[in-house]
Amino acid sequence: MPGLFQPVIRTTRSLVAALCGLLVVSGADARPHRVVSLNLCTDELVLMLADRSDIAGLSPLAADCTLSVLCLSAQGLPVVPANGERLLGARPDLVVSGTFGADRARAVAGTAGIATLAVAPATTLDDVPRQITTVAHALGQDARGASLIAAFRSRLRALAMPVTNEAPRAVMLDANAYSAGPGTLADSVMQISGFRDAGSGARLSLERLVAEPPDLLIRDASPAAPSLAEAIADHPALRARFGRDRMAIVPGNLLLCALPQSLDAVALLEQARKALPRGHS
Amino acid sequence: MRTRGILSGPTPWLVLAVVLCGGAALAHGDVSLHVGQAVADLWAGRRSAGAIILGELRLPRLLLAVFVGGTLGVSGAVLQAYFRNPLADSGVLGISGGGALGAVLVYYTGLSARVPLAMPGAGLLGALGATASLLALSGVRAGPGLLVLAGAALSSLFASLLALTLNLVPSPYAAYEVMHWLMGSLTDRTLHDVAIAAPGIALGLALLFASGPALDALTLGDEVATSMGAVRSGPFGTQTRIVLGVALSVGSAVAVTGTIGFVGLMVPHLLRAQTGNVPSRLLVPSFFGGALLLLIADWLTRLIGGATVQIGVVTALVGAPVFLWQVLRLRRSAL
Repeated sequence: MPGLFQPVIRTTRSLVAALCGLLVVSGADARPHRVVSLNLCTDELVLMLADRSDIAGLSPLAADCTLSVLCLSAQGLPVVPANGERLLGARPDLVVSGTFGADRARAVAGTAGIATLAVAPATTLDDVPRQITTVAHALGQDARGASLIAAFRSRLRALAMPVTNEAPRAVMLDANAYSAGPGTLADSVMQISGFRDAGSGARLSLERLVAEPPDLLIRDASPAAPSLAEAIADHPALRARFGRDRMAIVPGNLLLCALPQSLDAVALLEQARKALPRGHS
Repeated sequence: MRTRGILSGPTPWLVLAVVLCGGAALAHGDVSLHVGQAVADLWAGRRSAGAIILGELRLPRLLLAVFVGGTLGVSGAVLQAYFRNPLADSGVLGISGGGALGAVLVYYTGLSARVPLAMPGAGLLGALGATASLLALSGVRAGPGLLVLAGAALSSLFASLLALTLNLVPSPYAAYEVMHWLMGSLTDRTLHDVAIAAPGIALGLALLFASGPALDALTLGDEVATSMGAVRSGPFGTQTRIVLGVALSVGSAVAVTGTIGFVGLMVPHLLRAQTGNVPSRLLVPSFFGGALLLLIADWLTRLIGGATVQIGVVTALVGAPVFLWQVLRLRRSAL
């Protein structure tokens, strides 16, 4: 996969180098120095992998702590919304984005001859090393990427639990009573924590959830900004049915993007698994 | 005579129907339930699945259908009698919309979580503001067209302010909740929501029921009504009582369920012939008629599409033809 992006980046990078050849002081230093990210997940990867001085802009979501696990490090860095005009105004030499969304802004960057890297979204924890390798290489930070991957793999090995047929069943309750299900990062995190995912991705009926409860109900932390969609997790019927020891709180920002930090969610679920009452563990 | 009027009218049949439909709403749902066992568990304080489903999920839904439906029915009957306009209804006149806007402003800014009763309070203020604007725009004795026109303008103004508010508040989910507030929903409400709405609904309905004799007097014309002692204006007059009663009950109701249209328009219209065209005799039947209508509409929403169909969609689908029929009747009488 990384090979796919390499030629594009090389060509554009040499073009940029040719255009502002006098500005590039050292010829050996060929990594991009004005990186702009347009997507929350690539924001977080760039924050972990790039030199802070190389970051020329992040998406407006990067500094929102309910969404981003690196919101504190994002503070003080420029914000670039995904529109072509603002993007060119940030004078990037590399634009990192997801494969979905920001299409127009990415096209504008391509037309202007700026190197672009589109990272496919990760839906399981297995995708984490691939994403890190791709982004680290584009940023010219291969060594930093390799050590991040090594740390991720060893923590994953230490945490991973087998999923047996007797493993406890869990449901991840999302906004508006939708459940996470197959193909989501939450599903992958549940399985690595040794839970069977009883969710289907469909909207849950609270009556059915109370009548046929899973062993563990996983919910997001209470949000700072109220909405009916997220108030469902506080419904008294769920509190009465699951109590404290069969309800686990996993902050939503750990499950939005597949990152090494998503292993914190695995650790939280394993704690919750140990606390499950007899007959449910 | 008043008692005999209630017993001989449609009220007993409506009460029976509300009890039967209410019982069915408790007995049937997404999962099948041994109702007797669930009631016994609930009574004994056992937290069984059946007791939780019955007490925390089906009961609040039933209570809201009955009391919100009743509120909308009675307020419709009172508004139609007071304005002497068969098209008057809290939804058409923008009073529900004002109440919903008030509730949205305090809920999404987090104020309602810190201040008790902020939701019904803001619903009341919004509904009062809407009624005051309506009276200022059209006046009490406006023709049916002018009143409904002013109401339509206010309704769409409040709806767009509500949508704007939901776009500006911090929660990323808020913008998708515009349907709940504009079309109404009883899904996944709690007993806490019932407790929030109850005081305003009870107080408002008491004021509206107390205005019955004055409404009867007003059918004889303003001057006769004044000479009979049914005073219209003044701080403690009929107008104050009606405006406050509607704003309290409707404001509290929509603060919890969102606006549910056409109930107050349809119910008095369907029951008027059975009550001898006497406004005060229409109030109690309108309560049970509204309750019955929402119970049936709620059952239909579950039948059609689970939790995602808004109850106001169903009431509008049934109510809009009734509204159009009224328009045609008005046109014929005007010719």
